[in-house]
Amino acid sequence: MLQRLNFYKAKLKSKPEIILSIIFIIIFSLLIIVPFIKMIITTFTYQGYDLRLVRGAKKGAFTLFHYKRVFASELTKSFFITPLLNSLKVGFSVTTIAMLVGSLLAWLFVRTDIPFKRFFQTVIVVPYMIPSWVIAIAWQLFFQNSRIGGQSGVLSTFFNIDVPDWLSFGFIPIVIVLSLHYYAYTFLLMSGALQTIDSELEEAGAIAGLKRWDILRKITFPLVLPALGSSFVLTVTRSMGTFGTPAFLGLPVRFFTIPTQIYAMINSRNMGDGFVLALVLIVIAATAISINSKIIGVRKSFVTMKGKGFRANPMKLGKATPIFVALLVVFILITIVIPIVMLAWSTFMLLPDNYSLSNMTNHFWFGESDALISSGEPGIFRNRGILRATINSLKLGIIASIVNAFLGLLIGYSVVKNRGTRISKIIEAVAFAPYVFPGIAFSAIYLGMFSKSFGPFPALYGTFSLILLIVIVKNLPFSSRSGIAAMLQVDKSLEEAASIQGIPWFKRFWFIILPLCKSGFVSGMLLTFITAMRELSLVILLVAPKTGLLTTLIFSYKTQEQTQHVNGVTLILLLIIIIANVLIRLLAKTKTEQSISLG
Amino acid sequence: MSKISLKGITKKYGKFYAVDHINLEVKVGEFLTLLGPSGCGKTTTLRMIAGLEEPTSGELSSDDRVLYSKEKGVYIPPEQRNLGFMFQSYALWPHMTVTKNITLGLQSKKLAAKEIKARVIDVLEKVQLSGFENRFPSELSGGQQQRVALARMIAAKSDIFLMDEPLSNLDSMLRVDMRSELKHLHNDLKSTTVYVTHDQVEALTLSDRIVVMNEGKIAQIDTPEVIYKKPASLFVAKFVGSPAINLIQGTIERDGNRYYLENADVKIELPDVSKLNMNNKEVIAGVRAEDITVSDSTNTNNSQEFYVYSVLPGGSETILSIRRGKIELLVKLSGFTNIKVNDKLGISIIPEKISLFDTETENLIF
Ligand SMILES: Nc1ncnc2c1ncn2[C@@H]1O[C@H](COP(=O)(O)OP(=O)(O)OP(=O)(O)O)[C@@H](O)[C@H]1O
Ligand SMILES: [Mg+2]
Repeated sequence: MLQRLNFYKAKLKSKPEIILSIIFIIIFSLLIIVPFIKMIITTFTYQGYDLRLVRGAKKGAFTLFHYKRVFASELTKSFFITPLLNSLKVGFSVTTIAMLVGSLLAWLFVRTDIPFKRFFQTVIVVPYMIPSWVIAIAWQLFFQNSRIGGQSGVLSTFFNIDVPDWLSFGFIPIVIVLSLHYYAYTFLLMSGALQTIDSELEEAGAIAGLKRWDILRKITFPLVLPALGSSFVLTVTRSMGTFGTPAFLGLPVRFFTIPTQIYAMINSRNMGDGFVLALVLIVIAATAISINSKIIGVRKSFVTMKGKGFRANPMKLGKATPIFVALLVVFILITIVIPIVMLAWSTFMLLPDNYSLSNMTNHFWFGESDALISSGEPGIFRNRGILRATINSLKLGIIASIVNAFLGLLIGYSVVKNRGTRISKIIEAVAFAPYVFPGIAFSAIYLGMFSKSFGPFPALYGTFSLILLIVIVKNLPFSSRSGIAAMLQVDKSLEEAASIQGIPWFKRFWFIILPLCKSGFVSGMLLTFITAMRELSLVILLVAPKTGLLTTLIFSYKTQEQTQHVNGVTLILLLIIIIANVLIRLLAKTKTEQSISLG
Repeated sequence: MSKISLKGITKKYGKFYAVDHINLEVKVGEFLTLLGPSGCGKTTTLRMIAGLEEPTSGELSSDDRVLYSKEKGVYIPPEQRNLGFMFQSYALWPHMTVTKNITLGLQSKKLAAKEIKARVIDVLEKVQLSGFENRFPSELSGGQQQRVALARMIAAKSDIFLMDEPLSNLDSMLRVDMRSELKHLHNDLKSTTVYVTHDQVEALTLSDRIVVMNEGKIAQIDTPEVIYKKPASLFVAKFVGSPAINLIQGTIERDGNRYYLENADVKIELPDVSKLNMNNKEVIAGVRAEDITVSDSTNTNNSQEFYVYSVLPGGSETILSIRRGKIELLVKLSGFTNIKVNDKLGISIIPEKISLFDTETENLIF
């Protein structure tokens, strides 16, 4: 007996991947599985909110009340059917447009001789790095009419055009704005896939006598199918689950999607119904992902794509070159330049819809508090709230990106080292689970869970730590993916060689594994930084006045209709993201595209 | 005393026995080779000795120190087994210079800086890589990388070396060179070495003893000479030797005091197999190509006339493929020859060079 014990003790000690796995399983249970179970329990019990509605209900008692109300009551249409249809409509429209645009761009860059390739390629992914609702805000500056939301935009002021409601708010603007953001997935995944297809495969088809169309259908298409499948799943799940853009462009006209409906419910403390809807989103996302991986195979569906060099003979665009270049330029103008210029310009306007020079002011940047202007909110550079939010956001981004990159590598290590065992599969799957949780619902659960001390965690209500924790957990799917991908590329004999030489585990990790995974590590960091900086729905319930972030500050300025502050702070956020990008690119010489294709 | 000892070592993957109850004693200072076809469990065995793979059952010890035994509750991790391992891929750390590759392990052993420096100089000289200290692995040729891996292994001064096909990534010229280097090094250092290869020539050249493995089991353990001359089974006979051994099936016939192997096509004289007591029984005879001599058939009144099917000159030797009826034999001649395709030849074999195998068990019976 004692011998047995000693044996397993010795074994355990020399197998860090097992110890790591155990630690991960414990942490994941507490931070991912328990919240999920709590979410389910909440939907089956009476909550405080329900006591007013149901006579004699006891808080915490079992009930199907929420399911009945959401799925089968007179409220079903407004609670469930309409938001679901809206979400589906938005999701599929965005996916169609984004995949068309993304594939076209990928083809243009990989398979043709379009000039200024490097420049365009770098710029074209910028819209992905900035939050999608930045474009939404710019959209409003342009298309808003005076009927809704008070101020009127450029079109109606300048050109005296009566912008119809459907163009200023609701379905159409949401789809366009989201498409301009999410095409990046298809673009990155398809570029990767197209690059890895050896043109010889297609040439072999041509020599074998296949027609052009047949080559496309029988050779190229099957080879890019995994990339298309992944793009589809990523775009559908994300555009259906996103919060910011539908909130900015949909709420003013009461156009609800599931995430904004969840937000509305949870905001009015109706947790039970909110979580039922959250489960609906989770089921949709999980179904999409599992169908995709069934068809294509799990391994292929989310792999990092790395180009293996360019096809030798790109298609000549010839006379069509100027047309394509012009299209690209217009595309960049619309998605990047105009929105940013609009934002910047509007911050110098005293009255938000007066474009005359006499209306120009630098008050919103440098002015002191003036009770007559924006409820006395001081200029951006004098504003302690903004400074604090900037510091908080930076702190969040930096800490989360370092922690996530490390966690990602460690998860990758234990998954790859235990490959083939059940533990490995469980860890991989659970680390990916937060992907399908809608941010709002996830944070509502955390809010409840951490209001008291829980497991090894103290009460974190209203603290920065809680925000940090949830951001880290929510980013685990991406950091673990990139960690696993990085680990898979490190031959296991490299570590074995060290262990035989008597080098202890910590040193092996530090001197051998970490340096070999450096580029994966850095791109994982950058990815987390960007997502942490633009996180909105996940943190909006959790921030307290002292822990506000740039995004939540923008949101609250937005609800107070302080347009100039919204735009100014958004610019600061953009600037930080772009600087971080450039810095990391310079430091580590990794490509943003690589890291993003995982996200 | 044995340096490494394996008792009933077994490795199962699911229901599949990759290594099946292996018993093996490696003597001090011995160069032992694990030889066998792909997938027979050589690498798995070696990795279990190193501790990189955990046996399913069995006991492993070195110098009477138990390294692994579930029953006795002993598990010594690879870090503490104090042995050297050379990977087929070399496993050089690509982000470290040659020097750093060699010293990283030494630093963990808490050696003095002076000692470490001396060892680096010494081992690099041994593998003839002085002057390459600051190169990265990617800046070295395959052979040089292989020698860095070798240097890294010997720098640790462990007295057991484990090598997994260290020469298989080299081109054939370099491989021959490195064989001689390895042999020289072994003479020099006298480290107990377990060497894995699927190349039988390599095994014959390098080893003190060879372990021939098949499907996770040991088929034969012996010196290269015995393995070559008296293979314990048909499997070993076929696997070792180039060109492949000639196998002839027939019945044992007695003719006076002499014994013959007979079938429809040939009648070959056998050594005295009276004690086998297998008259009129089916057996398989094995003859090495170099043990057959051919003669111009017109000179002998040999009724067993073969015709030449093909001639394969190889410089120092020529292989003849000759046929008679359903029998095909390979014959090795030294140098070049005038013999041409379709020439008629007679053969003779010294009876004592013939091995006999049981048709059912396929084991050596004589
Ligand atoms: N992790 C594993 N899971 C399942 N089967 C395995 C695993 N590792 C090895 N095997 C199987 O065990 C058997 C022995 O493998 P091993 O690597 O020891 O062969 P080998 O003799 O070294 O062959 P080679 O000459 O090709 O290197 C093989 O049939 C192999 O398929
Ligand atoms: Mg092997």
